[in-house]
Amino acid sequence: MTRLLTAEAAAATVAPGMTVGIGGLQGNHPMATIRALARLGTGGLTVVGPPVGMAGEILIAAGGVRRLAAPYMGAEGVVAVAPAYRAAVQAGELELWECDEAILLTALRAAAQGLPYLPWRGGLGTDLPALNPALIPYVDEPSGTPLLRVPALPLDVALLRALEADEHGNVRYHAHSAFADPALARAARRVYVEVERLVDHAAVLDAPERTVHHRVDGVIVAPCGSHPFRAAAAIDEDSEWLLEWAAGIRAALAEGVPVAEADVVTRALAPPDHDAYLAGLGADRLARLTQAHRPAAGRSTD
Amino acid sequence: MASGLGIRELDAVLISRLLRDGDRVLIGANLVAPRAGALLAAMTHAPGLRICQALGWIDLAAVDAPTPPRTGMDVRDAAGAEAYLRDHEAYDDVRRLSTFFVVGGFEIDATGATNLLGIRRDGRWLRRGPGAIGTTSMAVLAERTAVYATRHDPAVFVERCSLTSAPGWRTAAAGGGTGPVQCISPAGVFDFPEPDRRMRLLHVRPGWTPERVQEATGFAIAGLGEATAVPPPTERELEVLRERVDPDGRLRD
Repeated sequence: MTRLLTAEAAAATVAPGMTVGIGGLQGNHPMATIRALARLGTGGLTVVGPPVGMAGEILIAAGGVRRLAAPYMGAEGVVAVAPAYRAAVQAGELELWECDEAILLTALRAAAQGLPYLPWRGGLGTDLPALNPALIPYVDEPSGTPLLRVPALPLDVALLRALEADEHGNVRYHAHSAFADPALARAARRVYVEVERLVDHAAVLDAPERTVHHRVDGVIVAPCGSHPFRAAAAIDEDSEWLLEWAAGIRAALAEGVPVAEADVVTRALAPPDHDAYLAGLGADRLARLTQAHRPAAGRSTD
Repeated sequence: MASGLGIRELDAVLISRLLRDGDRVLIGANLVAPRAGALLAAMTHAPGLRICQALGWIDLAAVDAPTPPRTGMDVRDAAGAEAYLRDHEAYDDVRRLSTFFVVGGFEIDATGATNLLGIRRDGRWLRRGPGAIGTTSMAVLAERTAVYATRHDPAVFVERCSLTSAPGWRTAAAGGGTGPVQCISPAGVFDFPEPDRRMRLLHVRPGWTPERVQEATGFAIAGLGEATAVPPPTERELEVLRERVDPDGRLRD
């Protein structure tokens, strides 16, 4: 049975109030699916991740996020702090589940293992437990070791992005670009993965060691879907787009325009689907962003 | 001092001098000069140092020219990797993760604590920062840490951080760790001597005086009378930095 579906269909499985994990690390984000979710206007979401990156920014700008667990919200070297995220936090509209990367991964691991919590060594002597009361310092009785009790953070849905998959939902990445995606997938009840391309099932059978996720719940084929963020072996980061986004959000805030109505937000969400989104970017821009990833003669990008 | 030496070039040299042969070095987000410093150390006094770049452990002997230090997480920057650090498993092998880690913050306090979280008052966020990234746990897991600042003024160097994302010497013992070995800023190089582990000026950088460093700092700094000028880069350090580590001059911009 095929597990192929559209970004819109995957996004429609996310109900208001659900906890949604977003994969990638400063790129490799499933943005076609996230844009579809933002277009639906699904609200009250708890967003987890990505561990590093600002993929959740557009969902926050669209007003769909109630709570966020993400150790870094920015685009390193381009946009230091995601502006809609910063504004929503400062306005008291976005609750934070404060963490760093290791604490987040510990919480996801506890969920994956079906445990109520796991201990961790980091976070003591900092303000993270004060800001996030779910993180509880304690002393391990037998050893006397001070530790942090990190509760499980189970996900209703994980939205990930990879290089390729077969129609049965066996997912493969380029090089080591799975990053923390396995941690998100293992913590999630359902997993949807956006990919650059489909591969034959025979290719998966030829190299099962390359399968990172086995038979996920859905596969969305969305070439260049991670735009404006980079994706390994597919597309470069569109720093120009990110800078325009940041300037547009800041301008809206300065003018008292609600962030959800900022030009950059409405423009990003106006195309009804991913094909229309790519058409809106234009062939020249896409060619420039993908140029470095076109395989040279006789070479594979895998 | 070498003519035209950039601030970030000297940052790289100073970070390099903190590194030892045999170190394993993972450098976090947005730290171009420290990444250059790790490459410089490996190409000069620490040939056994191992660098993790774009989550690849790089064998520098196997690459003609290392990927220039830059921001971001592009898997192509792991060219020359002999092994990958798989992010979801990174903290499963903490003994081999990183012996040295650089911590940044938009606030840095007198005992080396840092703040990437933001500033709160009366239960509300006045200014939200980027988030702790990986610094909270890495400050405990790495054998040694250094604090790195790209600005030196009283708003950055404060007696106490509004919030602490990575502990300094004042609170590090709560987690069984220690504070940073040094702080490197555009003004100088600082350490944290016993018994009180408060910041002490060791070296002043070009264009600064001890008095000016004190004026730009929001707490009393020790060592003002004994501080010396930063030892300039050696000819070899500068040659390797400019010809091999940073041939494109990114650190000179």
